[in-house]
Formats: sequence, structure tokens, C-alpha cells
Amino acid sequence: MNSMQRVLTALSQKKPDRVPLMLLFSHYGAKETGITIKDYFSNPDNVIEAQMKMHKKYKSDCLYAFSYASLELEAFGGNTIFFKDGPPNSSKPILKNLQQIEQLKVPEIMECPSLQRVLRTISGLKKEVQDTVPIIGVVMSPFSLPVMQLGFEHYLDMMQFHFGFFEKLMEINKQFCVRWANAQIQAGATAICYFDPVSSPDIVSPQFYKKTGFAIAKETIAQIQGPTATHFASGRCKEILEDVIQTKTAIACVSSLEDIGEIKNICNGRLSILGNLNGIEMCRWTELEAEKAVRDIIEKAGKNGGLLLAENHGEVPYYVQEKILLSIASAVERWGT
Amino acid sequence: MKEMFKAALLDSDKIKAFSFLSQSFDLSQQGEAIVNLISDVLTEIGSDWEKGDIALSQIYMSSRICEEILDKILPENKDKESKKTNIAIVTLLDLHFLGRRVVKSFLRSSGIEILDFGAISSPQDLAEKAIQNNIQSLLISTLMYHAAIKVKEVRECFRKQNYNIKILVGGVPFIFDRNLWKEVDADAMGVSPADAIKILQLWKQE
Repeated sequence: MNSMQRVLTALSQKKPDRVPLMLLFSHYGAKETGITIKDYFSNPDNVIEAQMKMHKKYKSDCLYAFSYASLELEAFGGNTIFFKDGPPNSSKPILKNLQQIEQLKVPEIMECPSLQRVLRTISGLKKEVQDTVPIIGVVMSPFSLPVMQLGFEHYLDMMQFHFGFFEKLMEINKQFCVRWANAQIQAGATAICYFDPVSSPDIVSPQFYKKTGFAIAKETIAQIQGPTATHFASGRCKEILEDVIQTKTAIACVSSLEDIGEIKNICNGRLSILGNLNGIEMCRWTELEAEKAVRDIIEKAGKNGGLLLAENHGEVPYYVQEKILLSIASAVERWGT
Repeated sequence: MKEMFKAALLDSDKIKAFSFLSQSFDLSQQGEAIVNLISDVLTEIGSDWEKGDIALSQIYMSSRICEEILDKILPENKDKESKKTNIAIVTLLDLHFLGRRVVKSFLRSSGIEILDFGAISSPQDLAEKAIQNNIQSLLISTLMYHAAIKVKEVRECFRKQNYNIKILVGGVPFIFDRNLWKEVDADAMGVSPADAIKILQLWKQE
């Protein structure tokens, strides 16, 4: 089976030749390439070359077009802070007060250089692999983007005390999210990873999620012209799984704080799962520990398809050693068939 | 009584929370009893969050409401930060402030004075600032792994200066790897904001 066949078989709840391995490499590509993270993301050719190299080297069953979350903030006029050894962060929030939401416009994708670079990356990857390897595009959910637009504290205050402004911002973000997702699909992305950490019960209560993050996800995902995976960026999802299934997403990402076997049982074939290697512990794992972690997940959740093995946060940390990634790859071959 | 106050906090209902206190206590006379109740309730809320029973948004709103209530009924509390304290809190390396904000509110609501260093990127700058302010207990909040491992550099800076200080770390990387605090040479880690209260009280007794 090629990677696409393997992933599609798993998603149809059937047993593939081996469990698909979805190593989501973003800024890790800079380490592989030997250049700074800022330089790495400045040129789509760097990302295409590194993605192809890492796909072969680590036997990962996907290509990941994601660069960094604050790229979407850049589209709204914000800035990004780059580090030498970690994921880029958003700089100061673009909204200094809630009244500025009234003037906020939905960004034009064509006018944002960083979004254009991602689209060129996706097109380049598509030329390389056609339909043999899934290409994953990424959007921030309309419900989670305001953490960068406003800052977390102000966003939590707005949710609680200024619901009118919240609704206005959600309308803008929903439009942007749908346009950005569909632009990536048109450029060649196979599926969209819908990053929605704020919806996790770790961040808002399931009751609050039901009237906010859930309703927004349901409406947004329905307009995305391709399959989606909902990612909680290592946040837990067990308590909201029934609602997540209702959003018609194809995959949910499971936190390493959760029992992946239990989550798979709850899903019962209605949703596939992605996870749940602990990316933080991975930075200090030995090769034996890496193998054991892979084996445990496969034993708990690998039977009869429905599992995509991945790190749980949504990107492989910079400090994970090459030998650990190679161990993960060989453990999947050993235990995942 | 405690349960009703806790329920109001978890519902982010500050009017209900305040009116409950004003009905149950003589606000001008029973400041200490109110601080004790708030501290107890916040500790419980912290444990609930640690167990995954409540959300971060609830713990944040609860701590904010308690801080507001105390500032209102004990206005002298408002200026405590500027008074002499040897405890400080900082966000290391990035602009993720929420953890620091919640822990600070928890501590203030429990009557513990604390200096807020804001966000500092450089381990050297942080160590210098702590030494200048004669800090004995330093709380470091981080969100990302590459920030968390910089705590070791902070410790190294203190060592070079022969400066004795306790370091308490908290944040996502330490929750996902329960041994990381030892690797970065911290003295303790907190999972929930309430842990900071317990650990600081313990250190005070040493």
C-alpha cells in the first residue's frame, strides 16, 4: 500500500498493511535542513524539500503544509516572533480593545504573503506526490483564533461578559477560516486539520463548548470542501466526543493525557483517532521508550483500522532526536502490521 | 456555605459571589475569615482542575473574581505588590501570560504578596532582576518546551553568582512530563495554581 491507500483504509475502519504513521513536522524541517526557522519558512522550496526528505526518512504517511499558527494572525495584520529552537509565536494581539472588532475585515488570502507561501508549498508537494501521499493543510478554528487576536485573558473575558462582540468576531473568523481552508484544498491539500484547542474541556466547560465551539465547528466544517481532522493540540476531548462526531469531522486527535483505547471504544467506528504520543516526553525518550510508547498505543487502539499514530500536540518538537523518530518509525513497522 | 460560593465562582457570577459573602460575613470586620474561605475554595477549584473536572476558563474567572472581591473589601490588599516581598513570578521567554496571571491571582487572594516580573526572555536578565530584588522564591511559568528547558540556564546564572534561591516551575511542559522539573534543576513544580500556595507555605516553614 502507498501512504494514501494506508490512510484511507484506516479511515474506513479497515485494517491497513500497517498502522499509518502521521509525523507532523513543521519547524522540525528547519533542523533537518540546517537553517534557521525563520529562513526555513521564508521559502516554500525549503519546506517542500524538507517535507519530502522527512517523509522518506521517517516513513511518515503524510506531508504537513503547516508552518506556524501566527501565520493567520499575520493575515489580520499581526506579527510573528521567531525562536531558534521552538515554534514561532504570535506577537502582540492585533485587537487592543473590543470596539476594534467593529472595523475588522476578513483578510484577502491573495494579499497575504505568508498564506501565499503555504499555498505554493501545497502545490509543490502535490506536484511531487500527486495522490500517493495525503497532504495536510491547517486552519485555526474561528473559536480558537481569538487567543492570538485578543490575547487569552481578554478573550476569556469577552466570552463571558461581552457575547455580542464575541459573535461579531466569530462571524469574521468563520468566513476567513472557510476561505483559507478551501484555498488550501484548491491548491492540492487532501484534508484540513482544524485546530481547535479552546474547545477542549481543558479550556472551556463542555456546556459552554456546546453553545460556542461546537456550533461554530459544525457550521464551519460543513463549508470546508474536503475532509477534516479536529485537533485539540494536546487538550483532552473525551467529554465532548459525541458533539465532535456531530460536527462531521473525520478524525479527532487524542491527548496523551487520555486513554486512547477508551477513546477508540467510545468512537466505535464513528470517528477515527489521531494520537497520542507524548511530544514533551519524546524529547528525552530512549529508543526503547519510544518503541514501548508506540507498541502500547497500537495494542490499545490499533485493531481493525481507525487509528493514525501521531504525536499529540500537532507538531514534532525541535528537541526530539533523529534516532527517536527512527525508532518510532521502525516500531510502527514492527508492531503495527 | 463554601459550596454555594464555589458554585457562584464556577458560574463566573461575580454578583452572586459577592452578595453571598456580604450576607455571610461582616465585610469590614471579618477580612481574615473571608481570605481563608477564598483560599479554601480556590484550593478546591485548583484540585478539580488538576483532576480534569473543570476548565481553565473557570479557574481563570474564579481567580479574577476573588481578586476583585478582595480588592473591594480589603483595599489595602491592592497595594500589597509594592510592599516588600521576596517572592516573584515571571513568564519565561514568550508572551503566554495566562498561567502567570492565574497563579498571581490565586496567591494574592490567599494573602500572599508577590512581585510580578512580567515576561522576560533572557535567563541572565531574569536572574539579575531576581537578585536585585532580593527574591528568595521564584515562580517561573512557561508554555513551550524550549522555554521550559531554559529554566536550567536561569539556575546556572544563580549558581555563578552564588545566589541561593528556590525555583518553582509550572505550565504545560511540566504537566506533560512529570520529571522535567527535576531535569531543569527546579526545586518543585506545581500542576494547579493552588499548588503554588501549598509549596510557598511549605518553603516558608523550612
